[in-house]
Amino acid sequence: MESPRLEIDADGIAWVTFDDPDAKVNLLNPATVGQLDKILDGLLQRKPTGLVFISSKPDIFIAGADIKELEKIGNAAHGVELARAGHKIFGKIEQLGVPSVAAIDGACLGGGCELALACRFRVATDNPKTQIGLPETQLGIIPGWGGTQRLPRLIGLRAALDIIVAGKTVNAGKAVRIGLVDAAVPAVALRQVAVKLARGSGIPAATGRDKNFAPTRRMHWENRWPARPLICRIARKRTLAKTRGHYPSPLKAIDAVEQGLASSLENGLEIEAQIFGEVAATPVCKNLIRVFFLREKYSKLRVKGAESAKKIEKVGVLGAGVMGAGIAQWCSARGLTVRLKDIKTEFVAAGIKRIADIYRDGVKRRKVSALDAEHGMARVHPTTEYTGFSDCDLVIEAVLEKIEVKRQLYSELVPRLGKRCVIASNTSAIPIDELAEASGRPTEFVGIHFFNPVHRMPLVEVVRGTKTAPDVLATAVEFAKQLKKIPIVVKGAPGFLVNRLLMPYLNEAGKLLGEGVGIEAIDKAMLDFGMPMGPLRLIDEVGIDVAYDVARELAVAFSGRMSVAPVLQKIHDAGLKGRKGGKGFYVYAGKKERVNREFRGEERPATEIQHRLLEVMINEAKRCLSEGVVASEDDIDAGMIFGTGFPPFRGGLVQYARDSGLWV
Amino acid sequence: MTRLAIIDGIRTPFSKAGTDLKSLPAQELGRIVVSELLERTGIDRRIISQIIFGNVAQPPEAANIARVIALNAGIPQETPAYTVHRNCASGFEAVTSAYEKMVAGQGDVYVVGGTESMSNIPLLFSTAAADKFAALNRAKSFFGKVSAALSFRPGDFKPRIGVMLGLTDPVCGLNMGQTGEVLYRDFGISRAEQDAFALESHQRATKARAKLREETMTVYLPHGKFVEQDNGVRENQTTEALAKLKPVFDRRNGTVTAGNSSQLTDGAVALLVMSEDKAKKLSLEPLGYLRAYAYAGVDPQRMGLGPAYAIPKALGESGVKWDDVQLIEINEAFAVQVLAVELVLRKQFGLDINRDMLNVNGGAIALGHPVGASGARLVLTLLKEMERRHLKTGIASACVGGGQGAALILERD
Repeated sequence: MESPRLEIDADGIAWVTFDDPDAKVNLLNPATVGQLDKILDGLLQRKPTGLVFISSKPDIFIAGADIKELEKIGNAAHGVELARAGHKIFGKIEQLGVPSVAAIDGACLGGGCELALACRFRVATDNPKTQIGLPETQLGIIPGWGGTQRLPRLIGLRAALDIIVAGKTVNAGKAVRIGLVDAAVPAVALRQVAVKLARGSGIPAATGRDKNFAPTRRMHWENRWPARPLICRIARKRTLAKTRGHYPSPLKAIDAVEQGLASSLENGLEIEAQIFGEVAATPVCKNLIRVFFLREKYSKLRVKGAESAKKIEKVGVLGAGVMGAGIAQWCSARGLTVRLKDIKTEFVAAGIKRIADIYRDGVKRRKVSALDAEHGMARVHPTTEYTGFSDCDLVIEAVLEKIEVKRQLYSELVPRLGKRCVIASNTSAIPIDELAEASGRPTEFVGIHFFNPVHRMPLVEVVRGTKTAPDVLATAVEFAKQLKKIPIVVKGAPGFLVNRLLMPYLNEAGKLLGEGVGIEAIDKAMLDFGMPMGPLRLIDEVGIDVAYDVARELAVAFSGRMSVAPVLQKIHDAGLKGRKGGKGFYVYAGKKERVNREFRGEERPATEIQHRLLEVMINEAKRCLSEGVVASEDDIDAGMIFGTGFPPFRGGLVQYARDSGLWV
Repeated sequence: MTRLAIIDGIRTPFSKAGTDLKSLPAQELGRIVVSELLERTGIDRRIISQIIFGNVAQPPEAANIARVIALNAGIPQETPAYTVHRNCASGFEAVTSAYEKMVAGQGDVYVVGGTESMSNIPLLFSTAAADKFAALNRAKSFFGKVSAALSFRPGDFKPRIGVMLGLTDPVCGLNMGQTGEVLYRDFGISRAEQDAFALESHQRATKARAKLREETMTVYLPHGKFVEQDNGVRENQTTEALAKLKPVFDRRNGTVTAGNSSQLTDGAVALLVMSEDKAKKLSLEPLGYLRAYAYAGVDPQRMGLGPAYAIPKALGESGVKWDDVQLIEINEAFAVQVLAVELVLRKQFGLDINRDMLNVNGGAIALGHPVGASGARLVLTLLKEMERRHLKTGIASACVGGGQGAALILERD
């Protein structure tokens, strides 16, 4: 069956139903768009009384354009062409001159949203899966099928920029409030309301009290001079502050909106097409698309044995420190029951406070409802004893990075575990095989390495020991996915992937400092490169003691070619701890902070600093590949982007190396 | 005879109302003990037939608190739960209810217990004030609202104190302390005797700290503090200090003081109970068994005498001999009340209580009396002590506001 398909009902209303038989989601690819065009041409001849767009896929209206098509855009002219073609097809909906309705149940994104915007009415279900928005800027492009023109005309400049610039989505409730849809209804009433609208019987004018119907359309003063340039200027300023100029598309989207509003819709669409073409062909766009596909690939990663992976319902977490508490919090937030143990009541109490603080912060930022936070908190069962581990499906050990401590723990813990319990360590320093042997159950042993802060960092390194059973490895991968983390599988070599690449980079920063380059110069150079944080500040955040331990660990493992930078050695010996101790490369006094003046340094060209720091990382990445620490270049890029915040617009470390000719 | 096996139990520390545990509502205290009970026993939550919890104040935001506790503790939603209320015997009622369910053939594994946050019992408005609030809420026009708002008088905002209402018997009009004074007048138990009994309670509880820890879990609070110990026990309590306290309920002629009464307390207890057969099948070693029990009605003005009638009734119905009883817990609502029970048992029933067998680890005067939870605590404390002493038979009993007594005969192996 083809998608979309056309049916005309007894009332003469044309129902255009999207349901791609070959895919889980409906996408706007050349085939569907061509088919849509054909249908609309037919309707222009037959003149239906009304027109409804609907999907018969659960939880999906139209998820947007097929990104593989975007990837193919070779040059600006090609992009312009693509946008114009879309404009022409969507224009036909308006040309029909009959009431047209987008009946939205589920994801309505990008091109799907633009199709809905081209309709006279939009009705959406209150299904939580119903999300409407224009995420294009996240892929480095701008909405190209009328989104930048029709949305601000419909809901006003400010609300439109909110959605377009950040690439946000909104649910039905919010969509009604801002006027993006005309009504929010329960799924059972969707067709009924759509018919009403398509018959042109309209919707009840919104009274102040009814939240399910949008306010009657009004003039948007903010779309006009003098508010328009003012609002756009502020939006640009805010965007620049966030992107540091690395991401052109949000700014370009603002251009398209602003210039379009000053003109007719027709001219506006042409402006949009031009700008779309311009950004779609840039390398930033290609890189962001690459990151999109990397995210897709790794968040759906399947390894051998996935079919016999064990479902995880209860997790034991050993150690209530920063990592242990972070892991416990994240697991509980994803619905798992967590038994959290530490050796001292005080440590457990501190861990519980950490967890409560993360939840509290989440409630404040509206990432989680107060009720869900309460329930999540109630799933964490703290203790100082070894009770409550026999029914755990998986345990994660996150105690001190000392082999004797871990050995002791395993000897007490493992006999209390169920036969099929997976034993995991969050270690980042100790060889996984050594731990696997210490546990006495090496086949059930696996490394699951989270990154700090656990609730923010999407990457999880799943570490394969020499004896790890395939279904145990698969369980760990599936577990990471269940937690909505992004797993990569790595070999149990020192530092795994991320720390192995990061440490030489941080160490090199230390060497530069030792050569007399200033702290600020180094950190600023890497911020300018797009890193979320300068290397020296990162050491401060991680903790100088921790960074030093890892550096030394690696220096021992790779003696001969790695050594701890003298500066790091010195600052560690001086007893500085970084942010947690109030002093490191920076001095932290309350909310104020400044550079530690013990390290005076000079300026040096940013490109030189960047080159030095990246080169060591790239060389290490090559070694990781040849040693089989990871299996592919994609593993490296996913690891760096999702584990260290390596700038997504660069497409990953390997991608960057390729682009700059360093990958040979 | 069928017995109910009590497998294990755990409780929060008991904290004086308004102190360490005041931030946790009763449903959260209950959730904490049930979660921990499940963790410690490792019982498969899918085999639990029912959750039964005792609670007296019944927080308005957690109607049928047992169900709230069950769901928040991760008990499957298919497992039903209900709340029981027999005032100070609510914790007993949860246990005996499970027994009744079991003999009626309705399930075989139960999580029971009691919970109370006396810190969180709300203040109430008078009905007259409530009417005015309702009128204000209904008023539509601006003027209607203003006039509704103007109808309030300062007296409307005087709260009715929920705790006090709960501790006052609406039938005889006396509050619980006053029923204690009635017993003083009936039996002439002197202030000095009462104070001496209270002192002993604190001294025994002080000595039993380590033992009581064995039945108590650590409660971790979200702001990073933790609570490990019952905080009502006054380790340095003295006769002189007790003598200085003023009577609370009858200022001129009274004897009942804050020192010789139980305390307002926050706390919760959970017990895992099941049929004897089921325990055998799961090869669990029960802490003990519920052999028999009885509830008896008495004069509401003399509600404190409840145990004096419930205990003989339970013995008579079960055929257990008084001489076989080796250990007794009688809830210490008021010192005068326990002493009066002793007298009645001796004079009327010829049953002598040896003080060395009675409340050996202190009682509610020292540990506190979270009303809905106390019954379950007595069962737990008694069985743990019987285990330590390798005893066979014990009785847990309590007086009940409204004029009742409860007595449970517990045994080991």
